[in-house]
Amino acid sequence: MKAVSKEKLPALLEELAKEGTLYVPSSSGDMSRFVPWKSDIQIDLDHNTTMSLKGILFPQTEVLYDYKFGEENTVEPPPPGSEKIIVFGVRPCDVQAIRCLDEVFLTRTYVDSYYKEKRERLIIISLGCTVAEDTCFCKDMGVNPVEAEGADMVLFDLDGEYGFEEKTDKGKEIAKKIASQLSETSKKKPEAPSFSLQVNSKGIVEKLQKMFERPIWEEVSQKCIGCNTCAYLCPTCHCFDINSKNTEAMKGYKYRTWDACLGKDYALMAGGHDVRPSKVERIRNRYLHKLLFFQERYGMFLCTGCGRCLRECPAGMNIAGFINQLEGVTVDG
Amino acid sequence: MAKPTVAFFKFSSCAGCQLSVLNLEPVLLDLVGTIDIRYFVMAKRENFEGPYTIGFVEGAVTSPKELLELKKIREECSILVAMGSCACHGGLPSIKNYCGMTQKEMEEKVYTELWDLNSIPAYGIDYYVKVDAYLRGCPMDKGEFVELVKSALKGVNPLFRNHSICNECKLKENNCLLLQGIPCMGPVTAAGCGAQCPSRGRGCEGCRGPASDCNAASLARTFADIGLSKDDVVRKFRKYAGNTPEFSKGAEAL
Repeated sequence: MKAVSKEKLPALLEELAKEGTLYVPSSSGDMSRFVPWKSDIQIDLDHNTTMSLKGILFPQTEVLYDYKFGEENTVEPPPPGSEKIIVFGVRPCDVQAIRCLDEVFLTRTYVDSYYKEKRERLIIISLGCTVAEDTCFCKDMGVNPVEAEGADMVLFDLDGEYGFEEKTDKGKEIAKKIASQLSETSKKKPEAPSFSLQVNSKGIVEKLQKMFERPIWEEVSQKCIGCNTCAYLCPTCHCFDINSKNTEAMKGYKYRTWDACLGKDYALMAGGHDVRPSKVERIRNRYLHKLLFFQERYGMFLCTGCGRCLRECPAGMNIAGFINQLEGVTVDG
Repeated sequence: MAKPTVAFFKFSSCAGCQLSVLNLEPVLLDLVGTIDIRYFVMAKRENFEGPYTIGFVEGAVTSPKELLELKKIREECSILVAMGSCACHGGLPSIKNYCGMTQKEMEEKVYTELWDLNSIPAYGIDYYVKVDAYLRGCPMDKGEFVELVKSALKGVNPLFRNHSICNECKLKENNCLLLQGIPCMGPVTAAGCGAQCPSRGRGCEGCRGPASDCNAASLARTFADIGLSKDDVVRKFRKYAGNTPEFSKGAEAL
């Protein structure tokens, strides 16, 4: 396996940054996120970031097009970018999340051009996990915690050096560019870390299919305060709202912003009808979308077990705990 | 097309919302270019009688005289907007409704000349008349005011989301104040201000009134858990929108 010593990493990143915009995980205060690389940036590869890389492909606010009324009405989408987007040190749970988003935005008749344009420029360099935090449960949601499926290149922490393995054509191309920095190592890929949080997701799809009307939803939704932290931090949550803003009388722009299903206004329709009038329906919708609906449509969980929502929920909501709670639930037939 | 006529009225309040309108310097001239301000005592020497297209009302109703004026204003204005927390929910003046004194006792406590006073409990204007739009907050948010005027000019409903402040706070990536033991009304208060206070490390005061489907009773218990006395919890919920059934639940939870 090709490898680079940890001291030589900055030089390698500098080389990568020549290929396009390079994002690396970095902390400031209590938050960590992917930020554009600069030579003086402090890289944090010890923990997963608070904010996933979702925002790079699907920004919190994104202009869809500028419009103008007049003799001729015009609509002008923003010009597409041309630079490659290289994200370094993405954890396998977040790579899995990109696979989920790909399904949503790129398959089944509808293709989201704004997502697609950025996705095509994206190169994911994943970092396998050697330590699982106490909120991690990716292996129980079908993710390989060491070797992320879907990454262009995979990195392994080999004690003192990082091993590289290219997985796709994009990855091979990047590997060529940094080949001079890499040396051969005899070390082996690390073992999967041990998880303190065990989640039993076996058979929950079949179970949840029969659990639409159950008192358990009342129980689990009690604590939720509807702040939507879970959805904003979730690497797979992808709902958005579209609005327009007039900057002048006859011109303005259309934009989309993140939206999330735990606030009351989310499902409110014209005429005041609300299909999810209380927290009970809203939590049920969120959990079923993560664990059942997405499975039925795309054959994978929409939860990747990254544990962000467990860690950051101010009310202590716990989707992992909910899955384990299902063990005690019996359904007919 | 004739410019829509606009009027600004004031009842029991501090005039801060009207001042916010005047503080809109970067767009104020654009604004007066699109609307015809016919009545604005704080800002103009010449003021004209109604009817008006849009009437902005600031302040709570605290006397029969104000109530009569309000009824007349309602008849004169096609669109009536409650401007600021006093007009929306009663605001700070409504604290008196829950202080345990009679109107007469309060009058004697505050004023020396009582012969012309005739006060009533403080309520937002929708307690008495139909209101078409609300500009929440103390003072009202200038951005929302401009958005409302623009929407009225276009003939569309302005989009004001009434989900909780937490949504805006979380999008700004702030750390939760409640988790640090700082009492914050964010989880029950309607968004729109951009979570201004929590973003500066201060707990939300709830000036924008209740968010849709909020759980005030639960937040009251959380306040008690982080060390607030029962009286302090009541003060939190009775400060700006104590008249609303939602915040009353918080004030009565303990």
